[in-house]
Amino acid sequence: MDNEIILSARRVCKAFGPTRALVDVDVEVRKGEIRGLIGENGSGKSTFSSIVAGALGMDSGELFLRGEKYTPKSMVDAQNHGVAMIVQEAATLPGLDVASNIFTGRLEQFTKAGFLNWKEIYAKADRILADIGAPEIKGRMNIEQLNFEDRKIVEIARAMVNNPDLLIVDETTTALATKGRTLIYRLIEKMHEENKAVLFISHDLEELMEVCNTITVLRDGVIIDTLDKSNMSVDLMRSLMIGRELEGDYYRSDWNGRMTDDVLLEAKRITLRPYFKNINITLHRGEILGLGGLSNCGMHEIGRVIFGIEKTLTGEVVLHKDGRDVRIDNTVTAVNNGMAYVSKDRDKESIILNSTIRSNIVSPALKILSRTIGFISPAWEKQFSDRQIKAMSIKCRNGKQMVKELSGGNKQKVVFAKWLGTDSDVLVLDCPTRGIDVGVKADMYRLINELKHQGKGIIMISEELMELMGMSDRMMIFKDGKLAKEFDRSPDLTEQDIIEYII
Amino acid sequence: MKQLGKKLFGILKTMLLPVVVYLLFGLLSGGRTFNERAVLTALRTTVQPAIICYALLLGMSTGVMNFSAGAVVCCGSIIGIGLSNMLGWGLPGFCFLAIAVALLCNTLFGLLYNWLRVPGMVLSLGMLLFFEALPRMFFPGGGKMTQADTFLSRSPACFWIMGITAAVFYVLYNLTPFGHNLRAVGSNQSVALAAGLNLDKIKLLNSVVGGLFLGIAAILYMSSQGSLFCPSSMSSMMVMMDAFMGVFLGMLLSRWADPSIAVFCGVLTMKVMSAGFIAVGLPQNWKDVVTGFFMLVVMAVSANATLPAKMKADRKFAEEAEKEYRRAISA
Amino acid sequence: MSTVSKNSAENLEIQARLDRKAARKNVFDMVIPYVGLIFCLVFFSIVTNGLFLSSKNLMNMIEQCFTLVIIAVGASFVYAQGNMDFSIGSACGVAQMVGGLLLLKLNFPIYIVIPVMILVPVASCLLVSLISAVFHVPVFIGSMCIRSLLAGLLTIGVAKAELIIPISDYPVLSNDAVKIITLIAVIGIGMYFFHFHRVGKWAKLIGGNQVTAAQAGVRVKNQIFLAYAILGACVGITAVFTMFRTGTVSAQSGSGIEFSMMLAIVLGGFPMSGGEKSRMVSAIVGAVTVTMLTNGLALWGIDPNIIGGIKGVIFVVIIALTYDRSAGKLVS
Repeated sequence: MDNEIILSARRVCKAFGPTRALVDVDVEVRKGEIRGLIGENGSGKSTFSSIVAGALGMDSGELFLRGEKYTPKSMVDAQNHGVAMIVQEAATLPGLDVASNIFTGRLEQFTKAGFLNWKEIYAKADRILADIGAPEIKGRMNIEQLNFEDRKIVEIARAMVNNPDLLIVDETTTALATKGRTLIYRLIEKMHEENKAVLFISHDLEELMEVCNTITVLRDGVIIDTLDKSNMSVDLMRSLMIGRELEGDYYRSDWNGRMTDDVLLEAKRITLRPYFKNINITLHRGEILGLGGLSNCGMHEIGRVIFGIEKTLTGEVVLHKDGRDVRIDNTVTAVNNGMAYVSKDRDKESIILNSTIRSNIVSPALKILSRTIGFISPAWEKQFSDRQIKAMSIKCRNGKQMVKELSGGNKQKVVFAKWLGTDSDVLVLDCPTRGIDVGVKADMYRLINELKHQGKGIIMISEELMELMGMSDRMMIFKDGKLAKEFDRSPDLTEQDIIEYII
Repeated sequence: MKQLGKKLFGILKTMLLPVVVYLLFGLLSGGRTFNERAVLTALRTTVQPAIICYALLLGMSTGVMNFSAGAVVCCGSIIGIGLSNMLGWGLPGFCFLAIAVALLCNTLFGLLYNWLRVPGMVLSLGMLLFFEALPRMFFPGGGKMTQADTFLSRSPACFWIMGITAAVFYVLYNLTPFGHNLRAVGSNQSVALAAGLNLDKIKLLNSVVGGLFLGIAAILYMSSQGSLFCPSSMSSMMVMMDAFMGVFLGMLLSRWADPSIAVFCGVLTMKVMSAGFIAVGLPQNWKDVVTGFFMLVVMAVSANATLPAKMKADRKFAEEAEKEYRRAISA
Repeated sequence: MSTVSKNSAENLEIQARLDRKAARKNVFDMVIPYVGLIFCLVFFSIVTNGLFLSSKNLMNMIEQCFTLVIIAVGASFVYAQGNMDFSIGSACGVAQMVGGLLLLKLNFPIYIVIPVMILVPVASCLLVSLISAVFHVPVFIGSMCIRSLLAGLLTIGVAKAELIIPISDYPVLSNDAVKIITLIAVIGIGMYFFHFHRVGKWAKLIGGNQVTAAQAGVRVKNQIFLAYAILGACVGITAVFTMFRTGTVSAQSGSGIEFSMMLAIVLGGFPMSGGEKSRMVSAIVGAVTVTMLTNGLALWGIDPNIIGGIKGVIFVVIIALTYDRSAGKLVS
């Protein structure tokens, strides 16, 4: 066996219910290698890294670490073997101090006759923090005093406690500003110099090009290709990720960003703490308005304010409906006046998992379905939902199937089906294609385009620039809660033009 | 040094609450409670609920309100004294048996909680009924303690017990890995699990330690009552009512001081208040209604404690937005 | 895409296996409550040498069922939303106390007393919903507080003496035909609103996922208030009939109803977390089973205070058998 190899994975498989997240994945990571993992949402890259870091078990296959068989039982077990991971979500424990956060699960190492030795704990925490380049954070500090970025740094410190040989960075940098990014880059550089290895996961292809020396592309749980420095290019990576050339009518084929002058909805000077102040947005009939930026730039929250989930602190959101002005400050008014919302967190907000497809689809339409003395016939419900299931071609046995049994793409179709049933005029779509496969994605784009031509107004919020450029008539790019730049639809626009305003 | 000063100041602030309530009712009742005996009574009656409170607080740290705590105390008292009288072990035997019974009861709860994986509050409700029926199966007549042995719940013995128990709680909660693991679990279970904590072990240990405190409370409960009937149809809830309130008040106060002190002050406040109501002329049997009402208020306040700060921040943010807008217009 | 088709045969088989398993569990969950009901019937008939099925005891049980079944109808709405109420027993007692005091001490006419008796639990249930929906106090704990508050009120109201109601003056209210008509009417109206009206459907949506329900245009808070008001009204109706059946109001009036109701929900296979699978029939079947259990155990000669313990154990066992354990170790 090649002793240059730190980690090797053989035929790793993993399934979540009926969805196969990883199919026979083989990976080898060498010493000094900075390996990028890319793929669309649901391609299995996070699943793979979670398995290596001990957060998930695998169904079949083998892992080898430094040539020895490796089966991590937990993340701590993995850390003890020298594999640590920094994750995307916030994973600090509020209410505890920084040192306790760093040493969670290892406090027993610092006991004297059963009692904690705080002096040692704080000293060691301070040392680790200084080592990774954040000496201004101290072990004694309360975690709640720290901002999001510094909390992430505490998590990094937790990962570095045992000086790992393999560090996994799972989409951590996208949420961080300069300080955190520089810290991670320096850390990666150090790992490289010390002949250790890094698995780096990111959506940002340019960043990957810069940081990594090899890149592996995953699609639908299968490894498509592994590129090295010599043949890396953003275009190649993207086409490998998506599985076909981007030309053609994957998005919209037309390039005229025409819309009517008929204003459907106006957000006047909306403000939400701590995200943004005085934002103005105007949506026209027949327009797809794209909102873009980094995940924490406030664009998701703008969508929530427009739909009335969050209340704006200044100004108002006004819907122009049949010559009337309707002020939207709660979801009930929004729905009753023909607005629809697709949440970015689909499983938690947009559908009821533990419920049938039928009752999900009829949920916003129960008022419409009510007849004399509020009677709702089960037959009408069935008719209503079956029509939508057919129109959206949702893959299911029948309307009585539970939504939780469906795949991501079909779940999203259920969400769209329920709003199309109510014939909504304004649709706020927050990451409408997150975590769904390419086939369904194309269907969604076609549908959104169709809705535009029916004269609906669509606000599309997305973290994927390509999608925004491909679909919107007008694009508003946000940075740190402020409008950075507005773009009109144009075939000459490149991703580079936009990224400049994002970071 | 600054840290220490801050801590002391926090403790002072916490202790101020019962004092203020005491002064308020003292003035309202025309000074009827301004005597040594009233103060001593309030302090003495605080001891047993405060110790139950520690047990509840341990449960609450992981998000479980244990409704069976009162029933466990009854089990400990009645079965403990019954067995001790039967075996002729006297007071030391009673103390040992009361703690042993409470430990067993709570351990059973902890084991069932881990095995069945059902919500703790729901489970505790079923166990409440079971633990209430338990003493009746063995000692249907209840329990009786000889007069000479009841000194434990009186001054000064009760204050010694309180001090020692509070110290034990402080050490467990602050100075051992157990306390910190508990806080980690309470803070965010899934993160704690991912960080490698053994949730089952921590939760079970938590129940066992809670049982210890409930056992001590059982000793005091028996001593203060002298004789006890077996609980029925949830009457054991009354045993833990004061503690129930104290724990919520204590959690509010624990922003300023360590829970071991905050909880005591919380219960003391409730006690001073109910004694105060009687002093100002409220009939004795209105006590439950008034305390029930106060509990609602305390919980509504504690559940919304962060709301004023949030509203203030919102207002400030809106003002800033307004200012920026005006500046932009004039520019 | 190719990988999906490559494995599609395998996938289909996995899917079919999962479906079969789910279908089996569904049937199991549907049948078990009825099996429990029949088991109780047979078991108590045997151990009491047929006394359980004597006409006198059957009449008794129908009386007892009446209370719990009517409350079960109202409780269905609250439990379907994933909520609960632990104060209904005390609320029932307080309603009787208020009714008794109005009737005896203030000589109010009966047509005023009855609406007031129904409104008292409505008010207390609304208070519970207010505390949980507006002030965000966990409903389990909030309703526990209101329970002790109401129990205190009841004790004060009957402190001097138990209230003795002259039932013979109001024969209509203890007439069996009136009771049966009321029962059928309550079940009928309840069923309509629960299964064929948006109120019930919204309740199930709220139980399924409050956030989704709100985003689908449901006024979640209002619907929660409404469900609690329905429960309160049902409790009020039973308070009226119970008072005119027993003829006395004491500190024990209404005690234990709240737990019997929870047990009924669990025994009837009504999901504790509410949602789509809530069926009113489940709550009613559960109510009947609990009545049989209480009656049968007492008839068998078991100390009434130990019966509570037995109910507690049954409650824990059934919960353990039916609770959805998907949260695993993360349960709290």
